[in-house]
Amino acid sequence: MIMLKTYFVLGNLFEACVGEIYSFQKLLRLEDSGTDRTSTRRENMILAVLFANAEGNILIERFHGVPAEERLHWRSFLVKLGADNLKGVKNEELLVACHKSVYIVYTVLGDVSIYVVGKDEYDELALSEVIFVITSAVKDVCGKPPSERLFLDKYGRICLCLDEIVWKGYLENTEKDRIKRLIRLKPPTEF
Amino acid sequence: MAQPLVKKDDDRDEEAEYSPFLGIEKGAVLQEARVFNDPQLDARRCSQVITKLLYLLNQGETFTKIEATEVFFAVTKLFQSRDLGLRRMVYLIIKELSPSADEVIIVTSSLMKDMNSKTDMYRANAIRVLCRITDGTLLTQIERYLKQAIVDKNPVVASAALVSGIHLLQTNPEIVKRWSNEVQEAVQSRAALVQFHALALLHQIRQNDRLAVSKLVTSLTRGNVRSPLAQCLLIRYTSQVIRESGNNTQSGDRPFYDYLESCLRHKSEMVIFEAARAITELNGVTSRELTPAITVLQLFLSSSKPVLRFAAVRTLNKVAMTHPMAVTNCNIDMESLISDQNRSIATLAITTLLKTGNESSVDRLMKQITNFMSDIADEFKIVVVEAIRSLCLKFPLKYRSLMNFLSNILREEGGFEYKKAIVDSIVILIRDIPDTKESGLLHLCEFIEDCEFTYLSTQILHFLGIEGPKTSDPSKYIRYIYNRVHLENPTVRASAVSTLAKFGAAVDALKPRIFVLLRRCLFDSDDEVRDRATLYLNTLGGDGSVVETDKDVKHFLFGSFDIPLVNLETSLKNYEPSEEAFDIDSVPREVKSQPLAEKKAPGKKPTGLGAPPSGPPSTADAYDKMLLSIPEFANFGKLFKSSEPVELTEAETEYSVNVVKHIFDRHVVFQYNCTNTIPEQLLEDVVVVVDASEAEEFSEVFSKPLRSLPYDSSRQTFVAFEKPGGLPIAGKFSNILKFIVKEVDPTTGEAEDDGVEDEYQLEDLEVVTADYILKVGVSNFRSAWESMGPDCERVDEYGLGPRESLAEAVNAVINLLGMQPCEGTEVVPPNSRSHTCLLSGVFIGNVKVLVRLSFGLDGPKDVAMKLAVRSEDEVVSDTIHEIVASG
Repeated sequence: MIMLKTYFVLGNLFEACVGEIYSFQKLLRLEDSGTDRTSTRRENMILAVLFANAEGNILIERFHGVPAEERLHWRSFLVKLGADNLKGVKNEELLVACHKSVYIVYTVLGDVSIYVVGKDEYDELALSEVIFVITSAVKDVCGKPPSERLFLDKYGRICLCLDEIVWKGYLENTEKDRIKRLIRLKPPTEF
Repeated sequence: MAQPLVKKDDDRDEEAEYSPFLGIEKGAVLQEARVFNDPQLDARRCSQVITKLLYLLNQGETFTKIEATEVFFAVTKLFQSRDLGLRRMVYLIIKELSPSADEVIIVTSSLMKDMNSKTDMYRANAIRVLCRITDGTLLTQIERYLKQAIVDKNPVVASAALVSGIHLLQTNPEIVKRWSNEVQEAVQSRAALVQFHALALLHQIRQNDRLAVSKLVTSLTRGNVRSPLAQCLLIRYTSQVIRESGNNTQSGDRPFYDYLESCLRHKSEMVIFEAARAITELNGVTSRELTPAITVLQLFLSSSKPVLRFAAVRTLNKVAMTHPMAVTNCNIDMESLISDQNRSIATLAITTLLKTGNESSVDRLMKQITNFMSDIADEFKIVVVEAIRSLCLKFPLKYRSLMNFLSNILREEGGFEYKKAIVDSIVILIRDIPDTKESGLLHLCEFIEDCEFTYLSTQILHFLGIEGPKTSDPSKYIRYIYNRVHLENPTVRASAVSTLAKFGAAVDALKPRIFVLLRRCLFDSDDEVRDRATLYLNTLGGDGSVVETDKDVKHFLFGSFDIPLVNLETSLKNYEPSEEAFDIDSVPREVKSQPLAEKKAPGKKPTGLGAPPSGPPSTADAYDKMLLSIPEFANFGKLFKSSEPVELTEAETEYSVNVVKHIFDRHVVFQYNCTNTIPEQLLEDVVVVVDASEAEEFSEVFSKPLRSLPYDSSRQTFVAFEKPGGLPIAGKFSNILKFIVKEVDPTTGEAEDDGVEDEYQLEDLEVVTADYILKVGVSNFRSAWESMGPDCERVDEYGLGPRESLAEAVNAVINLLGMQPCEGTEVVPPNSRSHTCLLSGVFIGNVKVLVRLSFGLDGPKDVAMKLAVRSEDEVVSDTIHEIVASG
């Protein structure tokens, strides 16, 4: 069973602001204004999935319903969050940050750090589920917690897994065996 | 299937050395993509190239339109290959490239073919890709296949179609809504995920139809939902239905409660937690209803999984705010969580305990917290400090141990925010619990002896100056204050001088000694400190040349500074050095209407040092003082209400004028705030000529012109009317701004001697009945309502006609009545079809009024409203109905 440890770095618990929260709020303001601009924009989804290497370079990113001009902010915010908090964290130990109804769950796996951002229904519990699926799929593809090199070796297959797990901002598949079959275009065993 | 690009090497060192994508370059990859066009496709090589393309896209590389089109066309060729792995990659890269509308047509036929393929997995993936890249026109063509797919026996195909439906609902709702029957069938599917996706889609299709959602929930809660995920969804929908049928709760058992309760015994933790949370969040939940939910949450508290412990303690923390007694059973489990290695859980446990604990457990709790404080971060500590402050206000008898705790942590290391939270808490306790004053002040004194934050030092010194002289032995604080004069930076030194002066003014016995100290400050190296010392020496012990009486001295030192700083700054900037000294009385006291952003600034936190004990002068106080300073208004009596400024000009016009309506018992005063925005003009003798022919019961009694209005300044002119006393009389006034314009030479800034008379049409102004109602909230609406009794109650129903939304209708009525919404009822939950809003206010003549508004949607857009008014006077109750009836 996954070892889970939840840190509340920011949050709805705290009225007080630390420097970090300010930048987070800035992002959220950006985001709120985005909501006004496009009324079709949906809440309630996985806003972003992001993989970065140890130096903070992005390996894979998937944004859903986040306007292009805000992505840069998110990217640098997440990488900084990781740089500040992920040092010495064990593989798959989960860290949480949240503000109002936006949640971030992040972790390390081998040399790669993984961030998942969600909103409303995708709260810290749902996101921990999402990240658990992602980490187990990555481990499955790589055979172990990957080094950056190994991750890049398996890049194509990891992209496929991600495609099966998160579909346009919604969690779709959760079982790694099923995912393993689906990315090879094999029907799931239960069928 | 993507193959590793470089042979797998088990040697880790070598492995980490370089990336398989080292030196990857867009141009080269695009060249490589030509292999897609080979007549003999090499599936493995093609997969590798696609992987590289994906890598580039994920690195933020962008393709030009031509490049993207070229790649896209090449990719479509790959449909010829029968290699499964490659086909899967093709689906992915098409989605990533997200081709433009005119290109989509190229793959449509291939994808449509796949959609009808015998291979299930082709069908599923083709559906997902098509739905991702398609637009409305194509959708009608493939609708038939999608409907079939929803009920496909392969769960992957069904799920693909259902999830596509969820996405398409946003863009093409009318098409997706036609699939209801198929989706309904899929809800009964035996595959867990299909059931989950189908339920989500079905709910989204019907979410605006309350009856249909209610039916859906009713049938499913009776039936058998297999998937835990779907079960969680159902719980959410159920609580939504319960919320919306909220009014039945008083009558008897809550509908669906039994279902929620039964979910607490589900085998999946996810479902149990969801149900427990739903129960705790029910409106007006009773303790009997809460008990089973609390019991399962209590079990979670001792779970081995941190995430469950966290979820449980977070929920209990929320419950503790409203039902502290219900949570007390968990206190023992919660106490063991204080030592949880996860600090978030520990902090939540502590703050929950602080909310639920009783007086006898305080001491034990404090002991545990002391051990805990040393190893948590500042932001957690702030939460604890705030919880302790509220605990102390709850149990004032326990102030000794709580104050000790605060003073101990004040001595320890910590950042500014943390220290500020502690100091604020001590200040609030000193203010609210008189017994704590002496010890609290001494703790603060000790703190400033070694305080690295200038802001906190000056704030504490200011506070000491006000509270210190009122203690039994004021002299003992002098030493701490005077030490600051020796040891600190100029800002703190200046504050210390002011504080000393306050002691001197308030305590006669200390005066001579304070004089000695102040004289020493005359030799300080800093201007401000010397200036202050000189000023105070002259005011306190002067010969009457600075201030005349003792009372003036006290007013000078302790009185609140009632001139808005912004105005003072503008006036000082406009002041040109001349023979005539700057006169502070010439500074306008009118408070400019705040920009919207400032108004929104949250003010819910109890203020500590930020606000002086008397509180900053509110807008109402400022108006009151300003009006009193004009002799003609002095006999109007007490100011009842001042309205928000109403703009009488468009934005960005030459002259900007807004008006504040001041309501007195027998008079109404219009305060016109005028701003001159033309640099080349000086306006003189500015008046507003008011035509009250449409306000027959008002008669003008006085008009105060404005002598001069230079560029970029804002000043006021007033017009007063008399009206019959105590009655809420409405009327409409038209306004013309009249003035004399003088040209100003921009180079010298001097105005010409001769001016020209001119006038400027302003918008009309109305006095409405709502102007006679003060926004005054009540803390507990229900008890206020019941204590008012039904004697003067008036109830009637109104149709508000078609409205944009329920929320819009609610806001319109709130604004019409100008009353204070209570208990957050002004917020209408999205998608609700009925809403109750509670308002309270005081009618002119000091008559309390309470209003209960029940809104309901009648038909698609029509809003109906039931208005119940209770007040101390039936005439007032009728008046409220008249406002609504005529509004």
